[in-house]
Amino acid sequence: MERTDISIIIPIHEIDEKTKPLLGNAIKSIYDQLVKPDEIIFVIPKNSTGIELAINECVNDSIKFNIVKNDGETDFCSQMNFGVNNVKTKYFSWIEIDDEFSKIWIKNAVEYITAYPEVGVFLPLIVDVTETGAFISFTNEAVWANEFSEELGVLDMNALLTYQNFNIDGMVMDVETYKEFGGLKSKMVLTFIYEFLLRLVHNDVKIMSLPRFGYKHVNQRTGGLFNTYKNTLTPDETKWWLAQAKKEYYFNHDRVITYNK
Amino acid sequence: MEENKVKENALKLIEKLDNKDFGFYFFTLDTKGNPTGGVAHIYQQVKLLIEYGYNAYILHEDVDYHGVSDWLGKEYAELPHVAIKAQNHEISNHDFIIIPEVFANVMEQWKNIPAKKIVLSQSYDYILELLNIGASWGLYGINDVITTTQNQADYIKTLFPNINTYIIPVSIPDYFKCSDKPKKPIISIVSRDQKEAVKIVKSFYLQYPMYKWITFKELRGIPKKEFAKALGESCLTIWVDEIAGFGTAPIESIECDTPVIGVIPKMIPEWMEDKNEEGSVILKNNGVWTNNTLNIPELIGQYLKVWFEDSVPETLLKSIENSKGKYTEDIQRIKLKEVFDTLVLKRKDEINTLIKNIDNK
Repeated sequence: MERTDISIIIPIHEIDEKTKPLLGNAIKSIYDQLVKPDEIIFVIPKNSTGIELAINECVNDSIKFNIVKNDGETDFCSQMNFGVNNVKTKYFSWIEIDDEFSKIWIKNAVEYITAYPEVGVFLPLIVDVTETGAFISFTNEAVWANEFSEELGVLDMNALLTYQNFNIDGMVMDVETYKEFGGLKSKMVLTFIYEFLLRLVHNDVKIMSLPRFGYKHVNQRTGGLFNTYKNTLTPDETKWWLAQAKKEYYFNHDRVITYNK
Repeated sequence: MEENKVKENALKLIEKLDNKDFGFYFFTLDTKGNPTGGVAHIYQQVKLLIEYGYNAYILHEDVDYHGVSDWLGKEYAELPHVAIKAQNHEISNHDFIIIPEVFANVMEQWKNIPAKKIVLSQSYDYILELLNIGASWGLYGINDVITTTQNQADYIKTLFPNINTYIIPVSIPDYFKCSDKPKKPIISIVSRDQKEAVKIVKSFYLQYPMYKWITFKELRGIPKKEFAKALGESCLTIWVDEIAGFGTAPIESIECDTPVIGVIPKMIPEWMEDKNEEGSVILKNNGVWTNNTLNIPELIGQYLKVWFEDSVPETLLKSIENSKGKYTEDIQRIKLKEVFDTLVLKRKDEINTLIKNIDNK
């Protein structure tokens, strides 16, 4: 089997009866890849119970896997950063426990990495679906619209400042670039993805949306991170965090931020 | 005494033909800088004939002819041109004038010019456009036609049974090739009627609002190399040209590995048709062919889905691969030499027959 130099990270905070079969589907979507990644890295909290068991029920030896235990903060961003620190390949991708890759994703990522070596981040075309699997919309597609950004398919600052609906689910990214620019910031509530993209573009990292259905994302799953934000943050708070992202991207390190009306 | 003079002239004519001391004059419309496949094909023939040591010219009406430098480039723009209105170039009986099929009026006006006249028919649909009822090319002293496909030659024979037909296929330049980068979600549209293209785009966006970010590029009026680059980058080409004689754009797209959704023309192009075991005509799978423009948006939607899923059917891709490389410049070059050498030989035969008749008297 040829090496792809891509690892896939699955950050897991907790598992319950509802999310366990979803995790099984997410893992299966990795094993179903037409071109296999080199390794799967499961990031779990150190003192968790049941997660390792649930993982072991779904994995096999056809792809090398590693379960790493995080004894620090276990919010999503911290789990991701911890996972990236354990990657041994040049690139990583990642998947949420309730989502699925399409089987062509790694194959296409490899092709695009070869064709566009100057690109630092490859975003998949995300198909957003409801919990029952009904199509809602696409994400990351806008950069392919005529005159949306300066270069067709590439996310730039002007585009990002006027339109925020981009998602890093499933992205394939160079590990060193991720580390160099500080990774995800756990202090950024709600808009940590937006701030991350702004920061990368600000630092001249080229971000390209790969025109292939690479990732199926369950939108606003009950109990999911963004669903929780949606139910707990007021519209004013949402606006405030958006504005905050536009200020914080100048800093590569995670600074303490306190919401202030 | 008169006959001796005729014989002497005939012998001079033979000598000129033997020494290639004559010209092929290709009558060409001034497109005012607008790219057209038909004119490009004419320029290509002039270029190749010159390479073979013939004198070949673009013959145009006005002195202020716009030329083709904007869209075909310097190489073609600098080919020899002759303006009829400049009246500084004499066309004689040892020359050949090649007239596009549409200009039946010009054929009529020039019926008494002593030069050998040949029709160049690239689009069968234009043949009758300016031809008077009851008239025929034979009436204008024309007995030879060069066309691009056997299907067109067969059709011309049904109109003018006594005409001699010759086929010089279209050639696709080698800069029509797949982009070295992965294809982009851009759809190229090539249509004879601009309104048709606009309707397709509008209906597609209405039927598939989730794909409103897909870019359509109408490839009209752009230089040939830019046209080729756009085809190479696109993931799909839409082609609507019901009266196409050869259907160059889809073959150009195929050379770029870009699948085509197209309307089946009235005269099925040779590269699109095949014969089954019973000998009946069937369509090849080298594109998605339909007889109805109304379902093109739906076909685009279906194609995009499989393209985004990276699952374009293997049968389509294989058939596209098999259709490539059939219309190279080398093939055209060989065929062109064969046809024009034959036309010169035939002209010599005609004159030799004349000389023999004089000698036999």
